[in-house]
Amino acid sequence: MAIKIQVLDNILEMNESYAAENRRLFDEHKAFVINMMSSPGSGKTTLLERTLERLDPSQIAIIEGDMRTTRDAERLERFGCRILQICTGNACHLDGKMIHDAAKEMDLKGVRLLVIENVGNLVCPAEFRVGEDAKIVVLSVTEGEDKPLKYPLMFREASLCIFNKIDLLPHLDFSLEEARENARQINPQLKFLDISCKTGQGLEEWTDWLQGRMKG
Amino acid sequence: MHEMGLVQNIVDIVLKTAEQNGITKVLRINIRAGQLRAIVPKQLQFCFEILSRESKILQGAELVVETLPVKGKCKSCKHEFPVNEYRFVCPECEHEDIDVLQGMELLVANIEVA
Repeated sequence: MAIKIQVLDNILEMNESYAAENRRLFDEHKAFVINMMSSPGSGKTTLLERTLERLDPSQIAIIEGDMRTTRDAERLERFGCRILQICTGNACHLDGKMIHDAAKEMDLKGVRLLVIENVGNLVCPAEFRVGEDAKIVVLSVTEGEDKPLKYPLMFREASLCIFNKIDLLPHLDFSLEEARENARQINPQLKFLDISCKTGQGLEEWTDWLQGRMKG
Repeated sequence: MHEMGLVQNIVDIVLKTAEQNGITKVLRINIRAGQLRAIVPKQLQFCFEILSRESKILQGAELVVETLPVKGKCKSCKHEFPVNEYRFVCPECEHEDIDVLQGMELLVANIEVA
């Protein structure tokens, strides 16, 4: 006869406590922290390049997450911002502990914006809080309008959704309206920005959005 | 592939519980996972099989996942309702600011032991 023992322990407890500790550290430095997530190839790094051209790089720090290579960090290094690359090996996401270790190595003094560029993946990164102020999901218009319906947690958790590469819209059957409708169904509070890093469309709204939230 | 990490956490929690209660054999582990977590039970079970092989306490134990459907509560009219197809809109007043009452859980609910 089996005996039942009640446990009720949160499986993500360890991650949550690292995230909370990160949160305290970021607040101490008065840094606004965004966790950028998307599928691979949606244009996150290019968007960051355009962002660093428009904001003061000395106030920005970036944590790059990739399974392999330091290519993204190398692309961003020339702007003179603080940058740290995490190679996650086989892990498909960044978690609270990885960000905790990275943040300890970084000098966050004077940083008003910390960008965490997550591993390209619409599933796992949404599961793990890292101590961010806002989650941002980037969806390039070559990916299909139904992505929010297929990856609901990602779109539920995000507070801003960026439709990227909109200069390609004339060549595609992608309907921005339908994509927005799908995302709004899951997260009616979600805000949207339409951006082209090629033409510069929407970049001012993007940097305005960031600057409105950077503290002090 | 973050299931392995989750299962490692599950194993840690169960072994800690077993130790605290002087348990030498775990028969069944009951997991509760909210639907929004999109947990694939078969993947968890596969990872568990690998991670439990070396443990006398866990060897052969069954990992059972109960998926909890999404439930919401309207912040405006306080109506509670099942959220079907991830449609976060109040069916009573069409308000769109909805608290998730259920659907984000991820916990070891209980273990059954010999």
